[in-house]
Amino acid sequence: MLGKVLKYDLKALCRYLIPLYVVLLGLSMMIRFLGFFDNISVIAIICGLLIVALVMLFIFSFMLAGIFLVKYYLENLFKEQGYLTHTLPVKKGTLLFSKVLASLVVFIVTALVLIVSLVIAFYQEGLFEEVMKGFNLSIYGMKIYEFLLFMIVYGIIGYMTTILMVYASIAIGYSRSSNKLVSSVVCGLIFYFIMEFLYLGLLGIIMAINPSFTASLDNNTFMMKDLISFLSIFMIFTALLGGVYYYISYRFMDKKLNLE
Amino acid sequence: MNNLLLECKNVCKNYGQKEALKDINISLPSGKIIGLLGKNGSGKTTLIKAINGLLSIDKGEILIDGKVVGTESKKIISYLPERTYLSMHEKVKDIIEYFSDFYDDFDSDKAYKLLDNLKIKADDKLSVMSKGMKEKVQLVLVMSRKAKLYILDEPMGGVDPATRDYILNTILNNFDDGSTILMSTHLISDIERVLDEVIFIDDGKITRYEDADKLRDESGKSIDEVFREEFKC
Repeated sequence: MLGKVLKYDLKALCRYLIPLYVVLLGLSMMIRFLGFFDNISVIAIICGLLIVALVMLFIFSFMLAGIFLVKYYLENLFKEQGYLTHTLPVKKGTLLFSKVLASLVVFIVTALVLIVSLVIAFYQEGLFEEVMKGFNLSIYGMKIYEFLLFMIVYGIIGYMTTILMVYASIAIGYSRSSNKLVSSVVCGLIFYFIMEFLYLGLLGIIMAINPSFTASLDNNTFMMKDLISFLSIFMIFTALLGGVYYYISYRFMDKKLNLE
Repeated sequence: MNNLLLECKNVCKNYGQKEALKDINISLPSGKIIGLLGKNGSGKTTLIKAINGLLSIDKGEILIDGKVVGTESKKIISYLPERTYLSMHEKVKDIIEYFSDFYDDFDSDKAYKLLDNLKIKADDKLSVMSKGMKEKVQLVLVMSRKAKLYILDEPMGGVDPATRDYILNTILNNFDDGSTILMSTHLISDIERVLDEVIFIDDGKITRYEDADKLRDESGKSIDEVFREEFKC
């Protein structure tokens, strides 16, 4: 059943996301095309504006994708469509897990579209060789590609946890009989502040256990692996929080569902 | 044939301070058309939603064919809510594919045939259909399943008399004799001729659950008249 639910979730999300991807790729192609005529001042200005628009869209594309994911989650599970979704012979866990997998797919596809857009807009001969060379460089005792891989995994976990936090807030807010949206927002803010407080607490604990770490950032004994160890603790903690949010969403959907 | 299909035992549901369902106890047999009758806000939709697992109950137990509300019970219930639950961006054929994918008992040929009678084509989009047409599409989808229990919440609410006739005929012509239909409505006169049993619900309590003919014979009145008398404002 998971495959079927995921198929329809992704199909529905495509409706929101394809226009975003089309705009991104379209802008890149226009920049590439206009780049051939940038000796004409008007075209150079237009090209510059398009680059600004593309950069803005780059910055906000993950946020936009996140908004689409949350909008779909809300509509599919807690609004009118929920009357159909929750009467399908499918376990609540499957419905929720499919939404989480769909979020992961959206994150990865959005990242790929961004990379392709960049390449289309700014590709120059020898770019890939330069990039590969750069990836193999070492900084503070670690290859750049290793660090990038770590940051990608961390980014995915952080993104998924944020989405799950919003999912949990909605599941709680919409279990109430009234003021569902307001309750969801309040719940989201509470989760956010608790999470920030926990991160601060974790930082404090790390500093208390290993006070030499901050000192190492300022002197030449700093090694990248120290930073990775430091960030790994936060990454694991973020993943655990994601698990807690997942459980809360599941629990409220399974035991406290209250469709209007 | 008279085995129990739906059992509600001591079912209670509160919305904050308000008691929406108060100790509901009913047992419905197979092979009957049962009217769930009550005024607006009497608890009809709340009870139906609880049976379908769309809201959690605070106390009691609901069994459908001996199973608690869950994946197994949803396989045998075909539910028509009192609102449109279909995505407006979809085409008719997409929705039929969706139902075929999830419900083993869904008959897509039957659905296409019924839609054809309504002059609705597979490529028609829901977004361009009228409210009444969308409701008909939804009814066709629900009645194209070979379910044990059909739960129809206000299937004729807010539609013209001709459409009401169409809806009632579609329901009667497309369910198996062994299945049960639980239909909530306050348009009693339109459906009372087809009812085998009636349940009156008021203020979250079941006030009457009787055989329709017996009620008519004993009171000497139509069900509509009995209802109007009992629920006079």
